[in-house]
Amino acid sequence: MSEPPFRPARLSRQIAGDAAARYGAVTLLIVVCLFAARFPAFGRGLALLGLVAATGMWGWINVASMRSARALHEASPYLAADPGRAEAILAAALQRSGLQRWVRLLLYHRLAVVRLCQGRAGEAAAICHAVLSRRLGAARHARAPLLLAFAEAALATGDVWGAYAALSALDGEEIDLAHGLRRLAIQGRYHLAAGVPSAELARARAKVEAAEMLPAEASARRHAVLSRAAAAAGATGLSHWLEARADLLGGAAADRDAQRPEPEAIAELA
Amino acid sequence: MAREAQFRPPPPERLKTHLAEHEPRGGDPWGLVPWIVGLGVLVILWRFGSPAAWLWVAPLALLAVVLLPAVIRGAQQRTRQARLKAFSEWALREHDAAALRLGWHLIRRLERVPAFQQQVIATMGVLLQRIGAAESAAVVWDWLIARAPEDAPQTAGWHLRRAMARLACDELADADQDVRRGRRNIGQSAELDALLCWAELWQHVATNHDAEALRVGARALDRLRPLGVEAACGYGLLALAAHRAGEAVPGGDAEGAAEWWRRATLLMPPAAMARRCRPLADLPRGFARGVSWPEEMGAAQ
Repeated sequence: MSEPPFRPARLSRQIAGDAAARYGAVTLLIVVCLFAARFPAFGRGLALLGLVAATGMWGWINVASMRSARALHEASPYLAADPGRAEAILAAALQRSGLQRWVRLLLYHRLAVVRLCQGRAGEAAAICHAVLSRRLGAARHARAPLLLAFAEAALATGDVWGAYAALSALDGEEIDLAHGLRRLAIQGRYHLAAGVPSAELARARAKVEAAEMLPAEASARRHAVLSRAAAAAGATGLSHWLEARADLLGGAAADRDAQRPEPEAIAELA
Repeated sequence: MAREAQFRPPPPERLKTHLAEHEPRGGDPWGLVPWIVGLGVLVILWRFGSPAAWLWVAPLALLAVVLLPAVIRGAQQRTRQARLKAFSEWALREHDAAALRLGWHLIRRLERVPAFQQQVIATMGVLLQRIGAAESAAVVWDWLIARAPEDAPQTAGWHLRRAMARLACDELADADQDVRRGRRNIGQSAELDALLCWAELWQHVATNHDAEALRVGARALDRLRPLGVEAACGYGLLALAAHRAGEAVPGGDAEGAAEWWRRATLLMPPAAMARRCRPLADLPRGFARGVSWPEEMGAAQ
């Protein structure tokens, strides 16, 4: 099963449908209680039956949400290794109706990461934009990774302004170490794409120390980006030093395309 | 900063006692709470309640019995995850003292979640080795290996880590056993192969088999790479082996030593290498000069 190309209108429809199902169950519950109180002649049994029906509907909706939320974890291991499989898991979860808002938004966040891993950066950017333009509510912890995914997608499509906007929006966000490292990596490629390599050399020591925390291959790519920035800014000595480190960490320079992030790094944006 | 400076790693005996006091345990002390609450409500209803109260309170009590464990477990899980995250971030940032302090407390707090406790203890082993507390690190690896199944995927890595801790403590025969055990898992993963390469190099250098070390070094660049900047220790050991081999034979491999040392110091300052790998703490006279960090990098943050 694959998810059809993203359309913002579909997301709006799905969220409206989810809200209708959930609020419908609550409304039914309230009506049953009021009815039982107003017309005791119908008897306690009928009131209980209505109560059970409304509670059952509420439970069914929550179970659908729980099962879809489980899909978030089930899809995670396949994001980089097998994006097709991750997409199938997410598509099945997205088809359910009555989902809690945060669950649907997080499912779309994962889908954006899948699209990035598949090289469909334009669609990933559209998904991130649509999700970010809504109230995230209980999914607000995903705002920083969503902004990072948007910046990544924008850079891949050559939208330097979009990347700038996303990286600027991250300034006030609380961000953990893993996402902070990804942010530095994306920022580095943004500085190169925007033609401001000297900005990348600000606090160079801290950036190199941060790059050392990454796995060897990702660290090599990060060093390569810093080396390019140093070369472009005229710091030849620094550039050679960084390039030599990149070679030691990641093998021959020919094997490495510093401008293209590896799928494992993209999967960390989930 | 002052606390960092005052920090002393736990001595091996104290660590051993702490680990023994907090062996992993099963069971959930909160598991019975909802049942006790539910039973209490039913007893109160039975003693004082009317039929109407039964009708409305009993379903709510049932709901509480079902939901309460989930709420308690959810809160516990969130707290645990926040602490584990802080611990792993400090470890990654090399805030070793802070990470080890938190790890010490987490060993006690996680005794009912053995998988997480094991993860914390293994990370503490790596941190202890990183700050040069090899005797305490060996206690950690002993504890983990004694409690893990022999064929568990992580056990081979722990054997290799213990081999290095034992080499640092000059327990060469025991270290050899661990290296042999590590060789059984050759080809399982690049990270494991990198650890094996490091341990073999250390062993050869510690036993003065420099030629053997240089033979291992033929593929060292590729094999050590998954270690990231810690590969510097392997390159440093190769530089030491090449230097000593060059001293033994007139016209020996001085260039080789200089090249390996250049690679090593390109990745890590000599002081950091010496903490991780004891043979590099006492380098012979006339050892090659390394690479220093470029001036453009600025001062340490």
